[in-house]
Amino acid sequence: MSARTILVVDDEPLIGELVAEIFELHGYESRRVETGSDALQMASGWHPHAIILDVMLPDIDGFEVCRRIRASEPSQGPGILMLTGMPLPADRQRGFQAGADRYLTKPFSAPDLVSEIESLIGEYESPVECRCRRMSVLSLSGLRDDPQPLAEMLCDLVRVTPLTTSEIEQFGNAVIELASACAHASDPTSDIESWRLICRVFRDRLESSFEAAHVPVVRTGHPLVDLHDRTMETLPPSLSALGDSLVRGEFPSLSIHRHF
Amino acid sequence: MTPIPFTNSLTGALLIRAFRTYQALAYPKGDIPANRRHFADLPDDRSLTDILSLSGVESPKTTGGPAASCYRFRLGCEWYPHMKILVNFVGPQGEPIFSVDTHDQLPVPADSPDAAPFRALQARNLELATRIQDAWTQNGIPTQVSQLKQYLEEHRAKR
Repeated sequence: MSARTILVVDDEPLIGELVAEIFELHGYESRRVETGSDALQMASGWHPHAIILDVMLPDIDGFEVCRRIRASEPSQGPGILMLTGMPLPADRQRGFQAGADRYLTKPFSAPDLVSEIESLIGEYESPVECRCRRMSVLSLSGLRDDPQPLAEMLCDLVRVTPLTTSEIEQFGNAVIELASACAHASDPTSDIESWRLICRVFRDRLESSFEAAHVPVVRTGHPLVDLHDRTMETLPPSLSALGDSLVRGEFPSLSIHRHF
Repeated sequence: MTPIPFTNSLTGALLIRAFRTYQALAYPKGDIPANRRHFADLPDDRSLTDILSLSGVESPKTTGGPAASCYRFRLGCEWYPHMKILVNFVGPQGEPIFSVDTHDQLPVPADSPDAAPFRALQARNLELATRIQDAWTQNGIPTQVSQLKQYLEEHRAKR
């Protein structure tokens, strides 16, 4: 098995060097850079499993670096841990909204950092879990600005086998998030293609997975949509119908209580 | 009386050593302002409780998250009175980690006439903060660097 790889981005050279050494000691292959632009270049060229990312960098700040990495690789990018001296809850929220998976404040203890990265890499190696988590992060943050990354991630997710009940439930929740965002968007027509794509891929995926079997129960608890267990004869067309109804422009008044 | 949190490994002697190293570099000519003088004049045996009750000390609050979980000592420097010593507590044992908060992370618009001089001030502050932290590390005051080095040494020794 190839070594786990980690990129350390910190403009304090000694801290970056020590952190990189710590992960080398734990069997990682590590590289280190001190600027945001170098981090972006290294992330796209080397594709590390994880990135430890400082926020206060001399050129591009860590939030922006994180955003750009996520924009370039929304579903399969590295795990990103932000390591920063900015401890306020608003800073933390900013980090997660930029697409960070973890947020640790300086000063930190080395065991805490190692433990966070081990957990993050574990998720990276379990793509479904990782993607579900990122999906929920994205659906809560930049969705209103740009639903496309979420749409792509949803499609990516349902291509992964096998889909468990909880994954389908998460998918359903993310679809509902998207529906809500579409309903509230100032220009909902811009999201139509995302919707169409999601509905089509999800329907195809369910059809290939479950065939004549019962589709697992999907109870979202969301007032917009509640999906009950139905056979394949009914669910995909119904889901498609929901998508179509939204595509037709009915979604600004999404007081739909659909029971398939 | 409310117990002082996170003081397991923090002692008065350790704080006084940290203050003296800091002030030697922040006020190399010794002209410490009157309202910061009390940090310099502490006798060696001053208790932790006494030091934490001095003016210019911000104690951890019971609420407010990680931002509040540290002590701050406003010692300033020759050219910038807002610089502080921070003592955070990390790990399960709550080990103290000393650092310098330059306290100058203000958003100054790039087109402001103050932008360039403010950046110069930030650079100067950062350079001093780095020198103080390096001096602490060399003098056995626990810092982020010394903590990481210690971790590396302990793990190398185990192998």
